[in-house]
Amino acid sequence: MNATTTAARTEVVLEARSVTKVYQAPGGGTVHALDDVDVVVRRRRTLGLVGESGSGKTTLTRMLLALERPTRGDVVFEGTPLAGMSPTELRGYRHGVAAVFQNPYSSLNPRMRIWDAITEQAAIEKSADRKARRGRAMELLELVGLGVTAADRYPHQLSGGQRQRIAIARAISSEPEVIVLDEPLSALDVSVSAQIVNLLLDLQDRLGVTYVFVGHDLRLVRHLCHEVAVMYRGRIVEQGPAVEVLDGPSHHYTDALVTASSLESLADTDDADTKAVPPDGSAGCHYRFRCSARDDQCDTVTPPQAIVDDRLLRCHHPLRVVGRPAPAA
Amino acid sequence: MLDVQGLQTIYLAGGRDPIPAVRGIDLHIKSGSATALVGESGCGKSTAALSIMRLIRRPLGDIVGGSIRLDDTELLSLSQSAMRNVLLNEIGYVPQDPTVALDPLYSVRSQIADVCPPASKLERDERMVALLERLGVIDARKRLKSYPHEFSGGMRQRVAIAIALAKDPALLIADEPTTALDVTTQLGILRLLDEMRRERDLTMLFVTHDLAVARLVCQEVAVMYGGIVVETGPIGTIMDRPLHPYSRALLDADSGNAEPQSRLRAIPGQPPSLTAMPAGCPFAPRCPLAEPACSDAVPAVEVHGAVKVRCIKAGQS
Repeated sequence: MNATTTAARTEVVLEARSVTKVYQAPGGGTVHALDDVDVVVRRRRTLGLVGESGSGKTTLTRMLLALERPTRGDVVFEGTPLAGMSPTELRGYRHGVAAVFQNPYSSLNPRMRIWDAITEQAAIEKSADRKARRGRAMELLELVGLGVTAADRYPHQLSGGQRQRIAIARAISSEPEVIVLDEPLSALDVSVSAQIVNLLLDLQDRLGVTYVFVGHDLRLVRHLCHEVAVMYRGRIVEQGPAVEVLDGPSHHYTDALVTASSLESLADTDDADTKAVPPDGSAGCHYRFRCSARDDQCDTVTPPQAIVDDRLLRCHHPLRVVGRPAPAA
Repeated sequence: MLDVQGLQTIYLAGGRDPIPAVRGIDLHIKSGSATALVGESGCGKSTAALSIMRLIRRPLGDIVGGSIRLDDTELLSLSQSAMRNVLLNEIGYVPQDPTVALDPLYSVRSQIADVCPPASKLERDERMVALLERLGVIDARKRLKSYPHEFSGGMRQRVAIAIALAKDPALLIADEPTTALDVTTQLGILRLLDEMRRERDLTMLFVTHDLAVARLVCQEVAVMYGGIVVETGPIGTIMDRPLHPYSRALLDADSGNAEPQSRLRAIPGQPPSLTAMPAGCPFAPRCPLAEPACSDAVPAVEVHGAVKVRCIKAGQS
């Protein structure tokens, strides 16, 4: 592969630049749901977002989908900041991105036949007549591995895995550049989840679509994602190639997540983990109360983003130095 | 000790034929020991769990055969009111979604108090605080006054576990108790269940579709498919060397050992519909080893050391 195709393949399609989102908490005070987040999504690649509830991963996807505006910073799509877009351009952008959520049943209208549901967008925009829409629906059903017999059914007549295929069909119907997958596999059985993983990989190969994958199963993230960003309390604490980061974490939080998801026995764990968090907006590392490497610096100084090659880290005392391994002597 | 023999449960749908959901399963769980009931949705694992609590009743369905013994009591021969007492005092249940176990209109204190053994108000409060603290609820005394919506998902699941344990049950049934939680919270809940089992000599039935999670808290596993237990035995033995092709397929579908970006070994096809259960082995239509004899009859139980398996080609690959 020559240099030009490599560059084209890894071209940045979607980017968050120093995105901060502050919500007003009920009863006064603020919540920094996102705190100075930089993230880059490359074309035809999959970016994984991991972190526990409250880490800001869903807020970040809402910014990327233009469902909400950042308090500071901007989301940039193919070089154009969303903040500078006209309402028409923004509508165009929303065509360029799509989403698949954890529970496909709650995102499908129970009174709409499947073929109608997956081409609903074309119907709303009156961009295709009924016959053309039906034809397109058949194509989409074929693409996601469901027979055309599913077209005239209702959501309740399908299994969980089939419904998730329908949600994916609907997401790809507008030929988006980027699909946000928010825990699309969490509600599925192991064997069905494997089928959907294969479908997502096939669609990426065939359609060249880019994914942002939110998930809490690190084994699946490692399998599906090219890059991973680990989030904790509104900040990205570690980011880089998924296999590298998850096989050799540098941040103590990444390490805790990896350990928790690869255990073979409860005897290998200790009980020290608390969920205590520092007050919102205060300086210092957000993870410090749960961290074994905590010292005075962690309490007072917010760790800066250290970027070495394609890895990013926010930690005063990393478990290992990130970046390229030293060349063999 | 829970001993289930030949349990059969049907669902009733209007005037149509009864639908067999659990087709004769055996489970034996010693006191102080945990067994995982593993399988895909629709395999009958939740129906089996609900049947043990006799919660499948007409007109929805019925338990049509078998025996369920909890310690020295045969649950299937109890009157309705005696069974209510067993549910109230002997069996704790933790559902997948704690919001269904909690009433949004009542404080946590009154919901736990409902199932506490009789005692003075003060004494009961002390016991509740001790239990919640033991379960890792921070500021337990203050949180007793809170309502379910004021808790996070992980804390709500702890409260649901507190309700299940407050009565000091003999049997704890947990149906996918950690599926909705993130990994660090999941680990905390699993550790908790494991400690409670040891401390209180609980008999535990853990319903899940995730063998890796089951391995952390259970000593034994029963793999269900199409309403029957296809393989059962020590969980480590079965995960290291599955004898039934379905157990093997479940383990193979896991992404853990696969090359990143490669296609996973998904099990082709769908589990059988309850209304159209194949004659013979229910897994035969999806099984790579199937031969015509597999469709003759449900395979008999074969004993391989500590493992019991229903497959005429057990252990072949």
